[in-house]
Amino acid sequence: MKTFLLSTYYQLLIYTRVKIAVFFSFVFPIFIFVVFSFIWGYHNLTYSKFLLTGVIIMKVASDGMFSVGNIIVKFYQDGFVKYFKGIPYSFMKYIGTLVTSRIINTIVTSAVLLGIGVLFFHTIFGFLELIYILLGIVGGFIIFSFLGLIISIFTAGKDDDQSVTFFIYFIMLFLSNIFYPLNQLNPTFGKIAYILPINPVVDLTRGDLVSGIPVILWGIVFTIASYVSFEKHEIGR
Amino acid sequence: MNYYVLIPLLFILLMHETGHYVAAKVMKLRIEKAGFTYKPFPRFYVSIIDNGISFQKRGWFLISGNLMTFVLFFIYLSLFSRYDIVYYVFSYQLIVETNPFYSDYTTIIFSYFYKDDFKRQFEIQSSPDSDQTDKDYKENYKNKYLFGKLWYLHFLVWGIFIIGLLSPVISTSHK
Repeated sequence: MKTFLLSTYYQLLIYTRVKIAVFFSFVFPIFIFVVFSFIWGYHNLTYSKFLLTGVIIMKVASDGMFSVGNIIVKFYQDGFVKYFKGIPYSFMKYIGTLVTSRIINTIVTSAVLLGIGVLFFHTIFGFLELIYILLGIVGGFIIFSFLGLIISIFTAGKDDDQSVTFFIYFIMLFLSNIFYPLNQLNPTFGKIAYILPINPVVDLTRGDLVSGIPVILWGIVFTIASYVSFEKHEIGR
Repeated sequence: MNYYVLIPLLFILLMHETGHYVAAKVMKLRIEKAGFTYKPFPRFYVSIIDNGISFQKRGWFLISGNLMTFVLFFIYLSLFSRYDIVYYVFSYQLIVETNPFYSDYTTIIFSYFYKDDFKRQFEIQSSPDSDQTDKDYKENYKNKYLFGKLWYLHFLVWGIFIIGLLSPVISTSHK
């Protein structure tokens, strides 16, 4: 347990030293929330609350796809996994500390966002609403980590292997209800967008417990798909 | 989609480059090329031969494009003073022109605060024996600036600027 906690601490320390990671994972979600809330949420408090939950899921999606799934494949590609055969510390435990550190990072960023929301935009969440946010974070993390893993397995070794992940991430972002209620702006797009896994996660975060069912289903689908992909595909250097 | 929004946007883009062109002519800088490119994104450009020119001349050349946009914006506000599509086209253009990721301002900042690296880039360009390409060198010193303290200051100012341009709290005072 002590080793696990220490390893998690070092994962967090490594993260704080990668400037680009700190920017996209911590600063950028706060920037988006503050700027959009000042522009559209100043006279519409419900929008700030709507946006805050969306931005949290935007961050969860980016962390899952770029900081977990993608990284695991890179460990295999770089031969990093082989080092664990010679040390009394398992690779799975290492991945566990990586995931834990990312979850801690997400919770801290979400807490900062909630604090900014309360201080500047009077967005106050009740206890039940906070539980929904936590469920959305956990469900989203599982879904997007495995999605990132699947994409990375299939694109490993190819030129611009991250561009596919970026493309899918941005398509999901703009065809979701994160920044605006897409189904109200364009009902056709809204219906199409519901086949994407991000919208049930966003809806669950906003208090729709029924959306928990598709979230669980997507989680199962991606878990099985990533296991099968991992077994079938050889990730070489 | 309102395609007529492209007309004022195109006009502003061309006037931005005209600002650069006029500044280059006034300061007697040698214009290398003017045209359109797709790298790193589709845009018009005016490039000068920047070899040993002073920081002040380079700074004025770079800033002249954005100054032109600001002048046009203030003329528009003083004549019309309303929040229509043209106001938002100007806002979009000003936000893009002042961004901390890739803009004339980022070039001004790292040519001032990283003078030695900036000068070294030209030495590498003109030296055939160098084992480092100038593109690699540019990437190295840009990474010194990107996500550093100075960059975050630019980013913060840019965020406040965006809010100032688009927030209804500020905008209603113009109506």
